[in-house]
Amino acid sequence: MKRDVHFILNGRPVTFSVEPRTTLLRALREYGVTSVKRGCEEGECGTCTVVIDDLAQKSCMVLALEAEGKSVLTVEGLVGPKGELHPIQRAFVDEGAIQCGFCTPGMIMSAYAFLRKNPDPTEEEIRVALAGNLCRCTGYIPIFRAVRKAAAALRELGHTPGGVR
Amino acid sequence: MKQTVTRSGVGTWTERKYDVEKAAGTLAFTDDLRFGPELLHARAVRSTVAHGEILSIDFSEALKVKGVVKVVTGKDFVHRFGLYLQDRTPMAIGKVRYVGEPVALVIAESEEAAEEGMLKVTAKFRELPPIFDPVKAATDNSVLVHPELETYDHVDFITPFPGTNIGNWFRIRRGDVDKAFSEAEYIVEEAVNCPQIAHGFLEPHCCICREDPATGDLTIWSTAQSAFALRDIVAKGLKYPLSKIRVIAPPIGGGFGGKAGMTVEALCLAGAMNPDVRGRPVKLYIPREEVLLTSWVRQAYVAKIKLGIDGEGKITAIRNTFYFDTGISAEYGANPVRSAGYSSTGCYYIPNVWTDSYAVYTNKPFGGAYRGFGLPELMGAMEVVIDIAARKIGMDPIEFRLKNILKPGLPTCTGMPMNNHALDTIVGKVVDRIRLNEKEPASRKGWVRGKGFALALKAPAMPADAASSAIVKILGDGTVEVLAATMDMGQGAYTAYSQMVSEELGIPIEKIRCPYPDTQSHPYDWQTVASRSCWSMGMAVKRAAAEARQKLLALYAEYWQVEPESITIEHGIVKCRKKGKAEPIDEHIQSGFPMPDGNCKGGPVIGTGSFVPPDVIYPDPETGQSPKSVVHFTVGAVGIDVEVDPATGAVEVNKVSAGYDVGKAISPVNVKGQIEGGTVQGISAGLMEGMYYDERGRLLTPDFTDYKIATALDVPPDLDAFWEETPEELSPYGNRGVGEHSMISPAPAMDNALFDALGIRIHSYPLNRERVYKAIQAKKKGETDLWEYPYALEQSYKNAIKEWK
Amino acid sequence: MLAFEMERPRSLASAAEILEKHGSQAMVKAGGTDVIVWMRKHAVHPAVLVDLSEILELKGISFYPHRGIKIGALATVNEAAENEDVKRYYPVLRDACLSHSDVLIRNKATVLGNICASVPSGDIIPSFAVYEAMLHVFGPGGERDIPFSDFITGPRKNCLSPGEIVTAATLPLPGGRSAGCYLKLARRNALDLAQVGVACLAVDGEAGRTYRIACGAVAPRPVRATGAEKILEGVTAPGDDLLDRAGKAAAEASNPITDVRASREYRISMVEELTKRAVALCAERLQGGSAS
Repeated sequence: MKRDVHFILNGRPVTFSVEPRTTLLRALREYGVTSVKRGCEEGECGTCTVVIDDLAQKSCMVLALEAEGKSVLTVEGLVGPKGELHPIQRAFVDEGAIQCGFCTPGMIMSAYAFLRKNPDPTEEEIRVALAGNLCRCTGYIPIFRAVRKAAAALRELGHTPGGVR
Repeated sequence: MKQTVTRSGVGTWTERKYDVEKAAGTLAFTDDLRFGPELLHARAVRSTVAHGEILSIDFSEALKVKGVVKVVTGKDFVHRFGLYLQDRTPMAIGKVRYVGEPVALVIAESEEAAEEGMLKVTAKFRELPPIFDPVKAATDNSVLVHPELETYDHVDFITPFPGTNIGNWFRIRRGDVDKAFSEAEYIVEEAVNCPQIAHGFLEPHCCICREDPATGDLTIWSTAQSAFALRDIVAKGLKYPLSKIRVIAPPIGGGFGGKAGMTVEALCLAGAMNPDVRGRPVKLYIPREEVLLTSWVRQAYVAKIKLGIDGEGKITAIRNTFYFDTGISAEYGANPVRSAGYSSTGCYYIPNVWTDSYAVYTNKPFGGAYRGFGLPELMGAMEVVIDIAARKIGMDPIEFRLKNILKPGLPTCTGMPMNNHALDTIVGKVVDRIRLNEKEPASRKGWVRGKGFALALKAPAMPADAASSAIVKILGDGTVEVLAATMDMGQGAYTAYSQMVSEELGIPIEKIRCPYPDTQSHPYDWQTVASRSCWSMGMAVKRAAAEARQKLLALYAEYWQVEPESITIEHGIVKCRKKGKAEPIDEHIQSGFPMPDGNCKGGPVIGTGSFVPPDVIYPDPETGQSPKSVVHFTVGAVGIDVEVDPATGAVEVNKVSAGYDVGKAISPVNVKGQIEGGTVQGISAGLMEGMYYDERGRLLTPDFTDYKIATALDVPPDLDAFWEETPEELSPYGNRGVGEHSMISPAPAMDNALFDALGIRIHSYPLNRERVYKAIQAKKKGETDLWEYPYALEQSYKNAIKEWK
Repeated sequence: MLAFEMERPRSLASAAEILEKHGSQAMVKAGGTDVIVWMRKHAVHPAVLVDLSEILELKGISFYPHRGIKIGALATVNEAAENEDVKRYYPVLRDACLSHSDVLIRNKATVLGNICASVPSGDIIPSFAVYEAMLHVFGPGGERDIPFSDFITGPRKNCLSPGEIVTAATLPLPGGRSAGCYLKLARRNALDLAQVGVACLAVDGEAGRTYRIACGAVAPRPVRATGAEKILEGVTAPGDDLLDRAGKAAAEASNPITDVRASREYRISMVEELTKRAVALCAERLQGGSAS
């Protein structure tokens, strides 16, 4: 039995019609937000990571109906109105932190939520923050560089914790 | 005189193609493709026994599920497929051979309905005795995995043995090993084993197939590394002409060999080509926990190596026996067996060589291509045995290696002279950078520290006639399209080709595009495997770009009435300084030039290029000898500095240094990425990866809950990736492949480091915490070696290596 | 996963009513990080999923200086890990929370969900054992309290009756200056189930120094290593000998299985090792003043 769920998706109000068993992952992908990937659908890989009300979460473990009234953010929502990449996205490109690109959207959303809470992190803190996102191609090293670079860029732009990006 | 000028040519650090789309989330992978409501979804029903006759498959309940359209079984799609040996059917027919083998395919209007239908299919089996131990399977013919082996087609260079479980047997017979052993001062005989491992790409397989009901033409969208190889395999299997099959390969989320050849497409076709289904596209998405049950794994191996060494420390003879556990299919697995075989003296010069490399059938998921393709297996054993040998004869392991190193010009085990390389330099740098010869105390309280080293090498493992071709089109606004059917799965092939084209045409890289493969528009390329693409496709791309340049220069020369040699193309502007001309490439390049004689000349400028290795000769089937068995070798080395917690067996890597002789780094950002990524993958495999089964052959590690790979917290804090550039003669720019190489030797380097730290030799991978702990306990009891082999009743190492002769 | 109906009651009473109505056909969901994955793998198939996440009274973590900390059923693992009172007074719980899965899953998984799933390797279970938590239950028979030591009865089994929901847990203050830790051994450094987990709480109470030691992933039910606790009782600076004996006693109290994650023998050895380390760490912290 399908039910409606209303929430904000990348800044826009949406209504999805979903079954209770439909995960937020599948509902978003069905709607066309395909940056959110399915890599394992058991919470082990992180390719489905989105940000819900400022918390990075694995959308394969969220039922779509649970998104009611919440704000969901994906990498599509980080791209500016004129196509400008968010500083985190730009840092990933600049530091060679992307190879196949399948882990990238989830990795970026994890980094996004993390840097909002912790704008000047240590190397260890970055690793812990990304420990739930697997990458098989890059060996993670350029990803750490990208997050450091993004943190610096965001600090320079006057990013404040919990504030507007 | 060089007639092109660019800032983004060969050797520059550039932004990579498609990285922006990947960061923005707009790049569409196969699972992201959208079809209309006509799309059907497929889900496989799988065997619950490892070896058995199919008594019945009852899908009557499945058909009652709302949305289920059709259930197809093996009998409905009797076609045999295979890259080198046609031993595989997409679904079991009459017999099942491993737990998880597809026996039926449920096709439904939605994924959920297909899932529900799949759960309602009941298959009954009459169990047969299974065989899981590859060493036993190789020598004991009482249980045959493929009794009909003689009926399977295969290529000439693969030799299966009907009546046995041997899918392929590669031999090297060079010199006289028995004589050399009898005269040797030292004999070292050791064995190493390793279970199957998984590729661990984050994107599971996904495939959509559609048959045109009027023409029978097939369209396949798939997570394939090699669109054309896929087409070839499907065509051969169905006995269709190539032109009837179109393969579209969207970007893939990691391959590592696991999406090479044909993986799940035939299974999907079994649904899409069914008379009750055809016309509608069928999508087969393989859930993570079924990935290892549907497609390749890396073969498990048991390797025994015997060395004969003279009084000066020179290795005079080697006898290799490799058992590769290829599961139920050797269609691809037959080749890593060869690849290991024809590299079986590793990085060393050894005059007398005897190698037996076997692909052995067992009742398990099947082996295929995996980054390194036989070399991680070979070096996983060889670099450990070399380390043991050095210590046995009382020589420093680095000195021993350098003393026996395969210098340029010396023959490999096939008799082919080794190409130029800078391995000495690489060894020196690695030794230096991890301070291999310094015994340093552990930084963690109570832990012990050790350092280890291993050499690496590999040649592209491919048929002698693996060909590439490319088309370069210059468009009417000075932009360029490059049609090269390599799959850029993150290694950066399209960036490298764009740099090559930028180099050849003097056009900035931002103006160059490489679309993803489509057999309908792209010209043929064999496969994106073997670290061959920058080299082989690079030759084709360079030729195509050069041809386009020649045509362009000739047209402008006539247009401006100057010599072609006086024209340059600089950052997209065509110039002739003599005549004061400077014009951007414009629509003339597409529609022709109005020449001084009044005629319109030209038309669209297209360059084409083809390449096939000219001089590779297949090794002799009896002796494995060939004056040119492979195109070239890329060599390298890995050094690892680790610390071990003796109380738990936990291993932490302090530092890794890894270097490879790449000939020429076309795209430094790509080369760095490959070395870093492959090194971490190699460390992950060495420390924690392995596929395990219960006594009934059921895979206990099918998903990421129990098949663990390195996370951000498992990565060494200090990874030094570097390369040397000794140019390769036959090459577009002197470059050789490096994609696979960094995966090959971290594991044996780790084993050597653990020996240095603990004083006990572990002969079984992975070197996980429990195993390392066991080794430490064994050492306390006076043991010198730890051997764990899941199928041996006798776990004592000394007996184990005597067990099978 | 297979279809189910979902109810999202807004009150406990309503939730209990729904559970009673559907009996064994219904399962409860808080964070859902266990139950959703189990459903996807076809390990469970409830006809009705009762989602508690809209019930306001289940949210939050409150600290009562005279009673202890009360953790609501919907408090996420990260909420607990970041809570100031948890940090100050319940270090074992904090360690346990931070060792659980990864930071993303911890934003959704709940502390009490880990307890109610009752999986032997549940990371938060040993901490509840050493803090001697009290579980507050609401059900058709009204409210009742269950001491944690009675709660888990076997792998994925607990003593809740049909229709009962754990609404909160109270962890009493240890009753004196205390130090605690949870040490976990896994196959890799992140996002893995425990092969062995040992929680230790050292308390300087009125009667002197006591230790509470609980081991996870090594028996069908959580193990309170009372033998080890007795050996250490009253000793503020246990030497190597005593630590060895305590470790061995804890190992003897455990009864692990061999599975694909670890062998029984390794687990037994690691219980011994982790117990020694945990006790030494707690004793050191109480010595050094980094205690609560």
